[in-house]
Amino acid sequence: MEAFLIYFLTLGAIFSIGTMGYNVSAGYAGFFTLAHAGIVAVGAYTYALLTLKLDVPFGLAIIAAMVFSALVSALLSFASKKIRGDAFAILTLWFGFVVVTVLLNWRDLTRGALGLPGIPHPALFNDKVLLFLFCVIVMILSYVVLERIGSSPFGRALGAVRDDETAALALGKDVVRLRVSSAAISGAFAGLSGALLAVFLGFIDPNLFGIPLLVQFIGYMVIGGLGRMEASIAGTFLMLGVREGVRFLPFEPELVGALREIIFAAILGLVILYRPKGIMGKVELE
Amino acid sequence: MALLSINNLSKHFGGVQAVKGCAFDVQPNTITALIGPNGAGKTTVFNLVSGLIEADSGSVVLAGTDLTNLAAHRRARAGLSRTFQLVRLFKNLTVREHVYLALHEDDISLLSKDGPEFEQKMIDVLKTVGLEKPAETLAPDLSYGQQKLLDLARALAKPHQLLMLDEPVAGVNPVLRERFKTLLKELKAKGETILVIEHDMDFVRSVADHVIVMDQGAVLAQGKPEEVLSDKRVLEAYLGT
Repeated sequence: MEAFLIYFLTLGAIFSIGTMGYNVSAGYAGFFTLAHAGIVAVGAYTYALLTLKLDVPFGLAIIAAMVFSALVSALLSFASKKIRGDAFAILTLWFGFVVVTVLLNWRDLTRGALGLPGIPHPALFNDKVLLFLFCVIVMILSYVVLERIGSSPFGRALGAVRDDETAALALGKDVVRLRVSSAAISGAFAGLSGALLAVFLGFIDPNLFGIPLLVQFIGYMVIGGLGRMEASIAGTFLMLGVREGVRFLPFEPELVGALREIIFAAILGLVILYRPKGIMGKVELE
Repeated sequence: MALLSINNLSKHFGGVQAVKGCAFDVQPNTITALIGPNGAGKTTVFNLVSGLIEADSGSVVLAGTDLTNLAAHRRARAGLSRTFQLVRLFKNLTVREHVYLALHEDDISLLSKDGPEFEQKMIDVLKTVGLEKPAETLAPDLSYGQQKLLDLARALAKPHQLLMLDEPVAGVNPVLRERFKTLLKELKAKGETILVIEHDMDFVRSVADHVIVMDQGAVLAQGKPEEVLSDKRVLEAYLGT
């Protein structure tokens, strides 16, 4: 039971970082993309490949994963200058699909569907409790940084862009620069989450980062609530708890997977219908 | 020298020529009213001047600086500040946050270094429009009249040379309308230059130094309020007689 608890809390901290990153673009800036799981994959594979193939040290590989994910996310967000609304959502969904497809087919580099086993981590983290503590510390630091960003002039300008882009332009706000910056920050924390996931699991394959992961992140963020970082942490731990808790229910093992998704979808649906600000969000989902 | 000069401004939407060779000046420290029947192109001119829509031709010059090829946010930073006919507030932000955003020209800073002077500026703007009490109220929770005042407060707080007000008293009660009149006169006395779109002729007579009449996308007449408002062409445009 103790091992499960450590597993659950570590995964919760790692996913919380990714959800908070998602909340920067979607909650702070109102810039909702469907590429988040793809960006997490970029972070995870950047870390894994750098440490496996080039023996890059842990810290440097984590930073590289953040920087590369931020760049990819920022580049993708540039498309929003010309493409808006539903078309942009479709484009970002397609991007996530492309990432998985590239990872599956670039076998020389990624081993495709076989995945990357034996991803290195500092010897310290052979002790799962220490890895858990590290992930929680990184989650808290991420929370502090992102909360500060939210209350800075930059963060408030993101709020103006989210609420009314035209009015923000009339105040002299550079809407494109703000949106791209929010995507870069969002991408950096998605990349951090992906890198830590690679460290935690020790093995990654492209199918980890498909639509199911995207739906999980959307659920964690929406159920917690948009525009507040503590909401992302609460939403992630709550819904991860629900997902993991299902396995303890007295059902046949083959039913558990389906039941988990049904319960998750039902809670998400109820929140969207009856509580559009989520558990503790600042901004209503539209 | 005129503070704002608009020359040969044109814009069409599909087959409709919304603005056609529009040209006028706004002199510094005056209140200029832009009037005309519905569909005359007044708000389109505001949107063309502020860069929210792109002109087919023509130029916009503010205090000697050609704004024609600048994006909307750059025109705003050059000194244009405006309100909207249909109030566009930030629905998840408080009254205070609206003024904060308007005062903060630097939108990329991750550190808040606002001292007591900045705080005092915010209070002054809120006091000017009488919104200091509901400072922590979310914009959608204000009455319609208060929302109009907040729209004005935001435009006032933003550093500017020209204040462009799009129907500031449309739909507001007579008491608040009087307050707006007084406010505009006070602002002018403090040195503001104001370009205002308005349908209420009593309001225009009361506050405007100069009136520009638009009809079918072009300037029909301009001059002092008493001259323009008794001009036969203006009456025909308004009344269709």
